[in-house]
This record gives sequence, C-alpha cells and structure tokens, in this order.
Amino acid sequence: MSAAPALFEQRTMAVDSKLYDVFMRLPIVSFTLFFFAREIIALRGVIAVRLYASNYWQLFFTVAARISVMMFLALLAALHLARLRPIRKYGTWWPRITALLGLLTVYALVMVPTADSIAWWDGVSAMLLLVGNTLGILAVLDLGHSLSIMPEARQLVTTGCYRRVRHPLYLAEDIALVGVFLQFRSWPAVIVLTAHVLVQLRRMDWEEEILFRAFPEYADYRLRSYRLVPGLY
Amino acid sequence: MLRGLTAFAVVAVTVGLTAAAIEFVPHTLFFPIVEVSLPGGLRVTALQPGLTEKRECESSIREVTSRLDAYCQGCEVVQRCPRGLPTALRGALSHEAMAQPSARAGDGGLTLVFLGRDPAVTMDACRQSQQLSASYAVESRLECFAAGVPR
Repeated sequence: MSAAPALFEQRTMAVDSKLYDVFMRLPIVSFTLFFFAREIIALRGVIAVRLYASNYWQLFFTVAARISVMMFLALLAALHLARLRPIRKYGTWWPRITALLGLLTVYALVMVPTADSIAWWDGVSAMLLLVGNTLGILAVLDLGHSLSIMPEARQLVTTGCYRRVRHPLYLAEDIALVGVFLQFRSWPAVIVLTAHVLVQLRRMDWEEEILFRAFPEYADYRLRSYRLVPGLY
Repeated sequence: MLRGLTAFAVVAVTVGLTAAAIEFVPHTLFFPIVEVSLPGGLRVTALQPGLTEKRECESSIREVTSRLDAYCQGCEVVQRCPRGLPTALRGALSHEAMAQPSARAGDGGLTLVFLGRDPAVTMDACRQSQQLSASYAVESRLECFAAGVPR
C-alpha cells in the first residue's frame, strides 16, 4: 500500500463519457467471445477423438470441463457488457499493463508442446479444470456488475465467495491452471505458470490498493479475510 | 440459501449441457467406414474415429481404400461417410472385447473388424493385417485381437 496518491484518478460519470465507457468494454467482450466461439468449435473435435474410445465418465468429465470454460467465457462477456462504470481507477499504465499480462501470460502455453495423453493425468486435469471453472463462475456471479479486468473500483463485494477470500476468482483460475499444466507436465510450462502467478500477485496488489483508496470499509474487510487461499494466505 | 441454489444451478446447467453435447454432437460427426468383401465370404470393415468435416472423412476413406487396393485387387469395396456411427459398430471403437477378430492401430486411428464363415480364416486374415502393418509408423501399426479378448 505504498503507491503515491498521484497514481490515482477520481473518475466520475462526468469525466468518463458513457460512450467512452461502452467503447472500452468492446475489447474484452470481443476477446472472450472469440475464445467462446473457439471452444464451441473445439468441443466437436474433443468429442470426436474420445467418443467410444474412452469410458463414458472420462468423456463426461472432459466435455464438462470444456462446457464450464464456455459458460465462464459467456458469463465474462455478458457481465462486462452490464458492468457498472468505475468510481476510481489508476491514472498510470502499469496497473493496466499488469492486468493485461495477468490475462495473457498463460496463452504463452500455446508455444509449449503438450505431453503424451495418459488417461489418469487427463482425468485429474479435467477434474481440476471443472472445479476451477465452476468456482470461477460462482465468483464472477458474486462480482456481478463490479467485474473488471483492469484494477478499478466499482462496488465493494464482500459476500459469497468473497466473504473469506479477497481474490477467489484468481484462486479458481489457479486451480484450473494446475489442470492445464497437467496436460503439459514440462519445465517450460512451469516457467509460464510461475510467471503468470507472479504477475497475478502484483495484480492483486494493484486491486487491493485501489479498493482501499475507494472504500473505507476495505481496511476492515482485509483484516478479516484471506488474500487467496482460505486459512493459509 | 440463495448461494446454495446458485451453486446447484451452475452444476445442474453444466451437467445438462454436457449430457446434451455427448448425446447430440456424435450425430454431427462423420465416420469413415470402408467395407471390403473378399472372395470366400470374408468381409473386413475398416473404421476410424469421427471427424468434424465431411471432406476430411472422404479423404480418409480414400487413403484406406488405396492401402487396401494394394493388397486386394478385385475385392468389392464399399466406402461411406455416415453422420453418426451405426450402433452395431460402436463397440468396435471401444476397448471392449468383440465377438469377431479385430485389429486396431496403437493410436486408435484405424480399426478393422473381420467377419467370415470360418473362424480360422478370419483370425488368419486378422494376423495378416498385423504383419502387413509392420512397416508403418509405430502408432499406426495394427495389433490383432482374437474374438472375446479385451482390446
């Protein structure tokens, strides 16, 4: 919490025009819809490869994991369209760059070759993806109109998944990412995921800072909640 | 209470959509099937896992047919790309034992089912397919399984 106050901008409806706010939603909505469409197309391929060859429950959990990704992406797009306008945001680029890196770092995995398919690892991977995405959906539903990629203050949410943990969405994301990692099981994948976690930790700093500045009750909430893992951290 | 209901609804929607996808998506896939009738009443059905595009399926059956032509000139060949796999052939793509001898590639990319009046002849044809594939890449080599043996 050491950032200088000069970093912040007190944004109000008078400062950000409605048109500007709507326009700024388009990149993330397009991004999520693009990946949503990709997931729909990929689902047929996943079913084609595993149909009849794997047992029913293995196929079920693999497909359920992909469906939960689609539901999560659809929800992200919808809630970004319906989100509130920020009451406070940073005036510098670093917090935004950190947020974008947090969003995009993990896509570096597309350059890493996947490991050979082993039924047991594939099963655990599908389960972790399913649990992570389901938890992510619940966290996003709790965030509702306050959802944002950038560290911006809208409304303070301290209920539901946010009652005991300040960043349940990142916890959910990390559970799903362990599932993704199991499909790679290599050192390059470890490097990508470590970079991702480090960026996300910095992103949490930025988010907590802006919420602390915007909401007086945040200090008390921070004292009675864990940052990421209930009971541990 | 509301929280529990939301979690239940999310799980229910996920399960429902998953079950629907597993039920309906297979009917949109194209399955390459090549049936070869040899003199003496032996019939070999070659089938592959489903493909999302019809042209991929057609290209796949052309490749299988050209391989078969090299070993069996004059055989009667029927090739097709149905949408959805006929129920009778679903077991062939699984790991379950079959009532007839069958051969399968290591990567599951090709399965041959042998059907004939004489069990010894069908088993012999199955073993021959395994031998003939010895020069293929490891994952494409066929392994022959006798009737009743889990594959």
